[in-house]
Amino acid sequence: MEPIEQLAFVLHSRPYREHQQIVELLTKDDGKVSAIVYSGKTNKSNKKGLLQPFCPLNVLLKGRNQLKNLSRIEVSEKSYLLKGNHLYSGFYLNELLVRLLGEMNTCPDLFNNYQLSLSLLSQKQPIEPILRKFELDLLDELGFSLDFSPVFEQAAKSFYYVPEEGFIPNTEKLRLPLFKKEHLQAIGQQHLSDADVLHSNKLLMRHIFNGLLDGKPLNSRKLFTKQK
Amino acid sequence: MKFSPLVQELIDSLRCLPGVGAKTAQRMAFHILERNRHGGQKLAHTLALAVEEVGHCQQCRNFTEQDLCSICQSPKRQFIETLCIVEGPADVIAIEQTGEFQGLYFVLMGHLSPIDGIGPDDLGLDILTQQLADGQFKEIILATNPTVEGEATAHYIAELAQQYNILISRIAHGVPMGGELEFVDGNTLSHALNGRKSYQP
Repeated sequence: MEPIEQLAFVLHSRPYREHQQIVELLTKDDGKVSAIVYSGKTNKSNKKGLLQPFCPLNVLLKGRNQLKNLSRIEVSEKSYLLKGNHLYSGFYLNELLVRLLGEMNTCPDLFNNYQLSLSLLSQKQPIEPILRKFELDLLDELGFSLDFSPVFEQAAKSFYYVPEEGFIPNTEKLRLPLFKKEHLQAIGQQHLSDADVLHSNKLLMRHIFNGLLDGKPLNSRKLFTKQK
Repeated sequence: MKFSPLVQELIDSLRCLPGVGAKTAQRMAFHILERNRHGGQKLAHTLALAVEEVGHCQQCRNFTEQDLCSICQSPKRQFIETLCIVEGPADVIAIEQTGEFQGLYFVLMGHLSPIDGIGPDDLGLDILTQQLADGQFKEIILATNPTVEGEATAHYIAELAQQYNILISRIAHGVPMGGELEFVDGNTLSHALNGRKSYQP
């Protein structure tokens, strides 16, 4: 199959040998891909300026192995300029993707959501709703979609979230965080304007992602917590 | 064919250097053994000494075998109340070579990069905060690299420094000297345009 140009974002890059880099890309057609690229030392061939996160690129990936060769890179649009907490949020998105998303799984929806999230972040929109929306989309993509139907159907006032089981009413005592019914209903309907709902949503996502990450903390979170 | 154990060990050890693969390591080892045993001895001695002795300057975190590096000790620099914050020791040398800057440095030894697991605690920011709190400086220059991570680091430090009533500046980035606009990538060029200065004839 002849490779075609596609849109991509650099999630992370690390140096490889003297003049090369291994980059992890989120591409529109192939999902997450690792690729080797010659990053050059001279001014004219230096691609490091292009290989920055949050910059929409047109790339051509070659090779049959899992590790591709990045043969053509061009900027497709203006880079999303993120600042401060919005920039840290961008790192947070990248870290989630690098750590959780499998390689070479097509995920055009997630790609679009990622791009949309970056664009909202660059417009300095409120951070939390953007992140929460993206986290839900990522869960869908990973096959851990949240089923909110028990929250609407059952009478209990509050619910636990149990991995692989979903929401269960608090009839028995479990050593898990408890979420209020009305908050979960609001999250299920994506009504994220209330501060308490957002807070519950944050705790819920943190609980779920902690489980997915085997309890290893996310480093980008440290950037936020230090300032308070 | 196999080399004798000691020769093989030398080759393997040389491979710990960046950019040195199996062949290069082999060439280096033979060069030392065949032609330059004296140089090899000197290298071994210096290497052992440096690895043993060199630590970080208590004030700027640059590499030095003393408590304070020569720049931090310099009496002339004590009166200049400017601190330049850079990512690595090579950046200090680069700025020193310009001769434009007479103040003191702070070397972060990296930049914030959450995915690589480098957080604020790994960059010695507690030492930096302490120095800023002492009120020794009137201005800090954020000279981290113009990458997304460098920018994040600069922003993080700027937030830390805000409370100390210090002038915070960031090095300009844009088109390099002798560069041609048509070959400069779009990101750099848009930075250059956004950061333009008024021009006095």
